[in-house]
Amino acid sequence: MNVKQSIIVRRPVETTFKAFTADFGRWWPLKQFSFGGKRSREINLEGKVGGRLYERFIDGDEFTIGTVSLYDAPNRIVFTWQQPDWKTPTTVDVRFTPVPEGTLVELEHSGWESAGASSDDAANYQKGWGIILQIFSEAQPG
Amino acid sequence: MTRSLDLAFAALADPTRRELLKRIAHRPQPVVELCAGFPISQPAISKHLRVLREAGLIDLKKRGREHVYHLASDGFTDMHAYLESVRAMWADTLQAFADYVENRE
Repeated sequence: MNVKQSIIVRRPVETTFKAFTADFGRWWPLKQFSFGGKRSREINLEGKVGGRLYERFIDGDEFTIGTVSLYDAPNRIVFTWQQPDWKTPTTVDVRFTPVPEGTLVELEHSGWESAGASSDDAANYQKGWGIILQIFSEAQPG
Repeated sequence: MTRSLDLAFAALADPTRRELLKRIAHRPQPVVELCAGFPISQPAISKHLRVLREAGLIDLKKRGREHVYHLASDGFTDMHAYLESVRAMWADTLQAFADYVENRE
């Protein structure tokens, strides 16, 4: 169960990848989407494996949204995405593919099965989205 | 995370409630039947059922002269609504990204 979204950018793949990563804070609509709300001053993505995606607040505090787990310029970047109240992070995988019009950007946000887990008990990994999905799918008639 | 989802996840954090939910998913049934096989009292079971009900995961309906618990779609619907809000966020942000890249020169 994943969230998928894609868009065509009318620029070459190298330009598009570089803008997505190095200019993350310039294109991300922070007023519309942020964890800090009015406290948020900027958002940055560090373009390397182990680099952080983080918001910096007006008082200097930072909130780390996720960490880059794969950096394959100019074709793909994967980073984690963690809400403050979640034990398990979700994963955002973005692929950049050359197409005649420019670059196809495909984003996949996955890992919801365990995202709601709120226990330290690793054996209960299936709590949250996973168990709800499982129970409801088993309950479907037929 | 919305409050209703928090409630749903909190409700699922208990093994007795997970087992109750599975039994109800398998077949709608009254509290008396649900108590069978559990080493705890009916009031304790009723308390667990109330938590599941407040989380929107189950509901109670009248069947003849008895009340039976059945699966509610609310918890499921909330989950889909949440994922839809995530999808909408990426639709908006990717559009903002494309606009930025194509218009910056």
